[in-house]
Amino acid sequence: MISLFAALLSAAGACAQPAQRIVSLLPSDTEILFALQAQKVVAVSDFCDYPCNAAKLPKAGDYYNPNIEKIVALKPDMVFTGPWKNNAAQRLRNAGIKVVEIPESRSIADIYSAITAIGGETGRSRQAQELVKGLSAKIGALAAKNAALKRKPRVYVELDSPHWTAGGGSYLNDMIEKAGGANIFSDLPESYARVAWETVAARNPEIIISLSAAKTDFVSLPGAAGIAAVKNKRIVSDLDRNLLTRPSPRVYQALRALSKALHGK
Amino acid sequence: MANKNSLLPWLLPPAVAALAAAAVFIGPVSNPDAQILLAIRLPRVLAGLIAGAALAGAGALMQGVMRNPLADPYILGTSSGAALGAVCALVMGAGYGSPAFYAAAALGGFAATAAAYLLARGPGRTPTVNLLLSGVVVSSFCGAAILLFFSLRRSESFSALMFMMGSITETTPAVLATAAALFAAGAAGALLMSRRIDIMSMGPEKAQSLGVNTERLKLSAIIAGSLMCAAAVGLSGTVGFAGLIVPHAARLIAGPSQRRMTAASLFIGAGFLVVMDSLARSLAAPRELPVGALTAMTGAPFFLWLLNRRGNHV
Amino acid sequence: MSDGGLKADNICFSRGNFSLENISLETRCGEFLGIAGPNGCGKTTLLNILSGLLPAQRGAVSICGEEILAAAPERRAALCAFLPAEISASADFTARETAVMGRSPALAWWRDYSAEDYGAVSAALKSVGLDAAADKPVNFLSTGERRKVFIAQTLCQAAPVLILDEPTAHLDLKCQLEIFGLLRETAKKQNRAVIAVSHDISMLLRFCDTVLLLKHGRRAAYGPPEKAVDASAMREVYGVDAEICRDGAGSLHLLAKNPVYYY
Repeated sequence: MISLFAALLSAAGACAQPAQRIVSLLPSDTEILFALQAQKVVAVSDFCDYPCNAAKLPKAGDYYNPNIEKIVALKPDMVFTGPWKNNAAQRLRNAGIKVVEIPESRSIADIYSAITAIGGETGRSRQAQELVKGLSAKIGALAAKNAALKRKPRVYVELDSPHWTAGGGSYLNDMIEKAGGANIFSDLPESYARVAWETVAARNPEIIISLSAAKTDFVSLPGAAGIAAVKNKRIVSDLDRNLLTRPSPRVYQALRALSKALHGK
Repeated sequence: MANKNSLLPWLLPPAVAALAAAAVFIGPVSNPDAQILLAIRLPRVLAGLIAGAALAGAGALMQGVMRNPLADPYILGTSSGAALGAVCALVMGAGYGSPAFYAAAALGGFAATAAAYLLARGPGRTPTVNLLLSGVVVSSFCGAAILLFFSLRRSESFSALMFMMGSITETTPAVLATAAALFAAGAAGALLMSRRIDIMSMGPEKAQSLGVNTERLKLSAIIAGSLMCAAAVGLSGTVGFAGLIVPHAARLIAGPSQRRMTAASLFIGAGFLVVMDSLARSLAAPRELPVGALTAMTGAPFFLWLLNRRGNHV
Repeated sequence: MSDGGLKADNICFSRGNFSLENISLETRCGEFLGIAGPNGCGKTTLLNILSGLLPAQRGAVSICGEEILAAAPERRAALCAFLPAEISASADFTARETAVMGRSPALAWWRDYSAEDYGAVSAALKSVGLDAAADKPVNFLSTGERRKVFIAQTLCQAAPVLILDEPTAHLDLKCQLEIFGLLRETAKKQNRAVIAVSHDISMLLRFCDTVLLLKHGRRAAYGPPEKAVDASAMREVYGVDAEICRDGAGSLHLLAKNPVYYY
């Protein structure tokens, strides 16, 4: 009964209301919830590691393998997750829990939509608006600066060894472009694909960004000597994979880091 | 049924050479420069030849010495052990494709095979049935350990997935040379053992009365097979089906004599894997498919056809 | 033993309820020994012991003066060629490819069969009457022909002693006569010691130099056929009322009459 009242209030966008119990099963949603200071997140997924407070919360499985029993036991008011094709959403709804399925962000603009949606659900619409405005301003400025560049360096990004890269349909591709780079595999429609090394060598990237946990030793690969990135020693392997691949409010920091790696500033 | 004088087996070496030469010109990059051809494609084709020959040779050896047409080179748990070694190396921080990675995979394969052999050993003899069973046990154990790693350290372990599906990734000349040496040693041993393996087909009693020490022969065959498996694993990860079906095709072309069958398997295996790898890098260009998936998809229908044929013939 | 051949001294072996006791025999090169006895008397076990496949618990077997158990398997194969009663003929080898395996013990492990080996095989196949079918796969031959292939394989193994367990089982009458004649000829002409187990007493009477009758693992009769195999031996060993007679050409034959029951 109380949760129904709270839900009605949040729909009306009222400012002061009792704390809702929120469970978040996606790391990106968790970061947004904490950035909006939504009250109050009671459990997160196994992979939610930012911010520190989130990492300390109880873990309730993840988007692929939600721990339904644990979630229900926590008596949350709503659960944030991605689009679910299994019956997990139905089971939670049967238990009287609201399930908000937010589509995966494939671009920076999608992040703004996600922030707005989450803000609306948790009664933090005003904070969401501010956050989006701030982010889009900063990112817009950075993108404009990079768009004015005479040429964009060719970038090969390796997400997993061996040779799994981000295609044109991926969030990372959007990031690279906004940061003033040209992803050599932006012609691939999917977001994640495995490519042949000879194609990488033929497309001659000027910068290689290695985000794989198991690193590839590019310098020792055959044909590497002919690649600009190897010749000029522009192999970047110290960027944080989560920061770059997770569509979260930290997108501006991620772009700054990427921009620095690509252009040195 | 091929008889001793059939010309067909003699066509194999030139056919494979032609396939390999053609394969150098097949790939996702449509107008490759000399750098790409020589530095990247040629070593990859060589790797395909060696890995394919090694798998087929090891398969022929295992099928002959275990007298079991379903034996494949991984029957003693070698592939699971190699995969486990690879996953361990990745989780401990070795780079994919680094020397430590390959060494760990090779060691894992050897260790698994040795464990299977020692588990199966009885007083004075190692019955083939026990070998097959202990191979299953070791495979299951390694497989379970791999799943554990996957659930605990997902991101490092993911790279091992490609290794386990089988893919010929470009490697350094040092790895290629080491694999070639291991393969040569194993293949030479396999061919030299052929006469005695033929004798084993008459049963252990008759084999012993013809002076064949069956226990020592089994151990020698396992060692030679392991050397060839190590070579294959270093070049292509664990590719399935090639080692199982190529010896059967070789038997159709070259007859049942172990020496001819093994020699034919080496060539057919080399050609088969080179063709599959060319497809793997060209079918969905610029993407690359795992070659192990392609060998399985071609292998399964061929095996069905073979079963049908055998059913009608005996 | 200056002539070579096989000598067994007081062989004893027991497993469970069954035992062989104090079997002694000697077959010189050039002699043909036939072994017979009722089912379960230990013929196959004895052959396994004589060929070195099974170690006796007491007593020794020696071939050409060499103790067979002390020899390595390769040496044993050079001394004694053994044909078991059943061989699994798997694979699709031709008769020639199967028979040539008999030449294997004489080859170093890295060698392959030579033209000389194939020559010996052709001769052996011809002597068993299979030269026309030499290049047919063994699985396409009849049971009797398959048995002949393995006899040829045993013949071309270069060993002074040949031990064969029921070589003529599954063979028709003509083949039986041919094979036994061939075995005797091999013993005489090639100066080898031949030992064969058979259920066919008549064949043994006609072709062997010495006959050994076994009963319950003990030597019941041993000696030249006319002395070892007589009516009382047949009654004692087989429980059969029989008569041994000579035909016009001087060959011995067995006339079996009735089984004998002791109450």
